[in-house]
Amino acid sequence: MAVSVNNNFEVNIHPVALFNIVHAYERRSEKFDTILGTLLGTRTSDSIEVTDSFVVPHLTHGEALYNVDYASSMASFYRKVNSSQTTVGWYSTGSDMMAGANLIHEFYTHETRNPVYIVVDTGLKNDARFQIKAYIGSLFGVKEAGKEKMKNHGTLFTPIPVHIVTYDEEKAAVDLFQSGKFNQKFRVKPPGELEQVQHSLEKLLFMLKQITTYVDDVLSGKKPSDAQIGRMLMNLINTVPKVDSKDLENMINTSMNDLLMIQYLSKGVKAQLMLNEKLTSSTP
Amino acid sequence: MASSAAYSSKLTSSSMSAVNNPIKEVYVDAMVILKIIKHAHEETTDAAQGGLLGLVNNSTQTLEITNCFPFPNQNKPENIDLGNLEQFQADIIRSLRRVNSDYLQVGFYDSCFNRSLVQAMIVYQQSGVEESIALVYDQALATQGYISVKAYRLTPVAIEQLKSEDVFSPDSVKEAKLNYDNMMDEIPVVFRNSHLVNSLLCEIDEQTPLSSKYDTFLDLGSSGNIDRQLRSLIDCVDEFGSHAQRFNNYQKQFQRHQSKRSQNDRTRRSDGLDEELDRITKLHADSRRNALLNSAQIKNQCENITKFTSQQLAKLFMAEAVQEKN
Repeated sequence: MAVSVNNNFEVNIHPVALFNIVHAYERRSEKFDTILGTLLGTRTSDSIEVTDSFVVPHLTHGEALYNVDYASSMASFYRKVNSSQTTVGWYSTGSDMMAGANLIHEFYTHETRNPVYIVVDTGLKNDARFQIKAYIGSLFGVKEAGKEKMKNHGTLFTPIPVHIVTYDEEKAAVDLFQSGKFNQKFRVKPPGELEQVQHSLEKLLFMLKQITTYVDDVLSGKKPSDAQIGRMLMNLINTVPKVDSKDLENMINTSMNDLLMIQYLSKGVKAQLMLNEKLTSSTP
Repeated sequence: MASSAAYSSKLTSSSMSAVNNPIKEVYVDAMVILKIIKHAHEETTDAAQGGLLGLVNNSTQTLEITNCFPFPNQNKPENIDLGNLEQFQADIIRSLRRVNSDYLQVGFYDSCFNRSLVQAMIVYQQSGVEESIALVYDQALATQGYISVKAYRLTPVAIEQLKSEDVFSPDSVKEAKLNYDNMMDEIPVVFRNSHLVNSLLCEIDEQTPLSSKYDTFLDLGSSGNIDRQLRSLIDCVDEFGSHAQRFNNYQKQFQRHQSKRSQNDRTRRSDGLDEELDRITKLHADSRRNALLNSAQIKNQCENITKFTSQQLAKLFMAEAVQEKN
């Protein structure tokens, strides 16, 4: 039953799963130091993508009595919502692997083919960083003389690399939350419409400034020139379309007319609402 | 909502305060937004809908949303026999309760502003917690990098009307001064995270590369989004037209009834047969409820469209400025 591991197996984890773990950790009952739960996601031949997680209550910490029914019922709820999401592994919190990990890992090998075990350090023990480590288990044993099958002695956990990946919308949301970290009361509001435009513009200006200072430095000889960066810059300049000024004015005017018409129409609808209100409320 | 009976005792105290102390802000946990985003991303065919869990904080007049769960899509063939959504909700809430999550359902979320949103809100605010809100998250805009999350709820005035009588007759609506403007409120949303979550954010910051997705926000092409918003507005306006038509008919009939009655009054004064006329031509005043809700929805959609077009105009001006330098 030896499980072969591809050499470049890796785990891609979405922020949602991590946030879920932290949330459950904050709400754990007082007798536990660590919590554990199931990871959900999809798997390909050489990577696992973890898209969600949920916590499973367990009875005692040392003996790791696991609540199997709870795990399977919650997994079925999640499957009803999205049928492609399956159990891909499990997690525990703490600075290192928990005692009794191999038992739980064995349970998960029954659920899925090659479960991944992730340890999230919520206690911030290892130089105050949020360490996320992932392991793949492989059974090891000794081949008995004269017998075909190996005798299993246990599970060997091999660490594999972990990357955090996001969908585009997730990235936008996470970036929004980043600005709430250093706020006075740790709050951040979702941006208003024009604020968002201003924000993007500022970012664009910042990036342009960096490029111009770099180019200035290269021209004055302070920095060595790099052919690749030069080519990329040239591509960048070429993407700005060269349009005849009259055509450009036409294009911009027509787009503006469209948008203004839509605004006018929506204001017209609102005026209609008001009129209707007056008419219906002034009946005898 | 099978679980609503369990906390009715909590409700009586909170429902009194809802009218006196309306909720001023909604605090949303980062995790909730990420879960909603994930659900909306994976739900490709229909809108993503789900329930919100949290608690009401009367001292700070805020509603805190700490957890959420998705509803399975009813239209999918494998879920067609899942008819009992309430049972699903009760099961999930019970399971989450075991791991010390908040179990009070304080509303629902939806990933687009559709027509039945307002009807669903009535159900939640009447049978459940009164401070329930509907959280609308626009997924199409989010793919461009703009997170738009809005919380709506029916105003206390509207709730009073709903509670007092089932049928909104035109007269009672006029008395309550209820019009499309004060049916629904938008409540500001604030994202708030605990310290541990903030440290997790720091870690994520270090590990994820600088995203290049901000460029697509400045993209000038917006016809897809506008198309979608206008389409839903057209649907609502059609319904609005039919309501207006029905009300006109009712008004005409009413006028005719009045004129006939005054005629009869003039011709036969003392016969005392006035009631007969009333019995013969029984006028039925349609409930104004659907019409009012529809108008409130139209107003919100118009506002959204106006805001979106103003964004696009700003981007156009910027593009013009860039080209002028040449």
